[in-house]
Amino acid sequence: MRYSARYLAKRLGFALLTLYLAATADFLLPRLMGGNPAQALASSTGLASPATVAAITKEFGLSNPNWGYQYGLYLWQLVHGNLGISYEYYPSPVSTILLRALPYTVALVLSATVISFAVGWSLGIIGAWRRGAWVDQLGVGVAFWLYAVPYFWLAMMLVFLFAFLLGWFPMGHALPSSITGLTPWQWVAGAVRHGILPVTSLVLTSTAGHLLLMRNNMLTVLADDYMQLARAKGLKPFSLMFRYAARSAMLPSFTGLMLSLGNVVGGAVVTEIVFSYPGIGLATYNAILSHDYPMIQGAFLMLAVAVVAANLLADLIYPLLDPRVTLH
Amino acid sequence: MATPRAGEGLERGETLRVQGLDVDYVTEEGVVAAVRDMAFSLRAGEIVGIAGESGCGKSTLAHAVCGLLRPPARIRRGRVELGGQDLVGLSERAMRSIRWERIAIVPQSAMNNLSPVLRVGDQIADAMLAHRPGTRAEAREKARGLLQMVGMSRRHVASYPHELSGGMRQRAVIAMALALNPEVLVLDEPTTALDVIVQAAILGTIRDLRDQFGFAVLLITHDLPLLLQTVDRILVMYGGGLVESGSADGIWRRPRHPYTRALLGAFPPLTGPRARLEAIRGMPPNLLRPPAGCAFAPRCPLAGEACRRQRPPLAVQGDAAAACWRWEAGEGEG
Repeated sequence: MRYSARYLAKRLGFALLTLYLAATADFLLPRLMGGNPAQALASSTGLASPATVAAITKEFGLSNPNWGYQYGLYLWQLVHGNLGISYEYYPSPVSTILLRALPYTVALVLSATVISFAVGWSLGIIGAWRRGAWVDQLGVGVAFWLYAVPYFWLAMMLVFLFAFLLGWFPMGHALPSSITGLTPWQWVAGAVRHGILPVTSLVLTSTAGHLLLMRNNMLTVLADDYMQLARAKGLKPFSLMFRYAARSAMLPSFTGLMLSLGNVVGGAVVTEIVFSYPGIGLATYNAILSHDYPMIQGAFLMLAVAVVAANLLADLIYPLLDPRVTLH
Repeated sequence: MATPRAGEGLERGETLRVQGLDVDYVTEEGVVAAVRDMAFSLRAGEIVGIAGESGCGKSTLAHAVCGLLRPPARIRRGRVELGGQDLVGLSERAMRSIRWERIAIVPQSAMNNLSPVLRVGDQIADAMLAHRPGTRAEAREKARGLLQMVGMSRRHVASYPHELSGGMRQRAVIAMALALNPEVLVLDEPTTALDVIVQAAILGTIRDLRDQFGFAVLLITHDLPLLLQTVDRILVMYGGGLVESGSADGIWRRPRHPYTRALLGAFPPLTGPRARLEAIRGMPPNLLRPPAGCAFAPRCPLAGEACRRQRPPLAVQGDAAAACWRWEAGEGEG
């Protein structure tokens, strides 16, 4: 093994500390903004009797104004998986709402991330290998164009063209409007049909960056001395391109891949708004609009967990990919 | 020491023969004549050194011989014959099967010649598996033997390049070059980045292996004294062309070309009285616009009118040859 148990423990401890600090910041931020959510909720629902306010205050865990007490309660609930109660969807717990949105977001953003990295890396590798050939020029040209186009515009054009004008795909949402009576197969087919446009929009914008980075790394590696020796050895082009060149060129891109995977649970806010896609991004956006602090807190916390976990995973995988990195 | 056999049948024991080779670099500013009218041959088991300063075309020559030139470099004219077969103009696929199998190269800056993310043994095994059928386990086992042969430990098959010293990495590349028992081994400044002790040890290893396997070696370096003590025959290049050739012994005792003499004078003698080092005045020629006459004429203390007008031909005398008007006229001898 390339890392010791001691390193593992240290790295894990550091990840937990990061999470703790993120959770604490998450606790402080809404409180620094002031206001009384119980009163706000009670008045907005027209039930503003003092008794109701007191009851809601108690339910939100705010009856004791001492931050120390609230902080302890917050952590205690957190450890038990309790993210609090949503103001907006009162009295649904935040965790329920997040867990309902999570599968959609993961399906959407994860597939888009995987596809865009696969396509971007492949085109970057091939482009660098055949530098200046039409496939390279086309790839780089399109990549720069996509890079320059604002994402929301691209997404809206996709909706306009393929959903509104041509009617090939639904205009939005994740599932057909009536899902009762659908066979599992029809359900999956419906979900895929709804997913194609948003996934395509995400792939189109994010592929460019992966392509350009991979192509650059690849060009650097191809100019390295060891590539010439590998060629002189009489290796076949496939082996040269992947085993020797791409193998080294992917190292800087790998970190980007892992970070993107961590961000998957954060959702894709603009995508979800444009396509009315019921994921975490849309839920967070709505929560911000309606000052639903527990929801925001919950979404942020989930994102923090995912990013820290992805970082940890990246750190553990990296030494296996690059033998020069050893961790103690 | 050298066993000059010139004058005997030309084909006898010859493995590599280069004839009339011109290599150009096609650049935006024009055509650079990197190698001009190069000719030499290598007999089996012979170690031939090519000496010259930076930019004289010696590395270009090494790449041309191995079929490794890439644009903007191109062979304009000439032949590179390996065992009677002309390699110039062979397809990349045909060249791929010849490289390493019959002619192997240890390139410049061998410290960086190994992929940093693959084990040394696997990189040696890759060379074997690209040419011969077999399993990776067998190839790795053979790599262990090769590493031992070049003076490394068998367990270094599992090492990554960054775990080895520069000298060991160099030895690993040499082991790799010998994996398929080639007829010709080209060493392009193999020891430049290493200290003299390691240099001497590695060249000693190469000579021992040559004795054992009988491959021919083309050793390219700017270090003429290194060649004097290592090789059988020396070719001195200047401005892309051959200016002198001869046995190491002959060149050491009686250099004919003024450039060779200047090159010898630019290195300190380790024994004998302390002498003032003579640097060679001026700059190497601009090969984009090569001089009409002798390429060395602008820097040559002996240059005359004829030298500047016309390029001197290579005049052969016994096993030695030199391209100098002055030498023919008898004035170059000193």
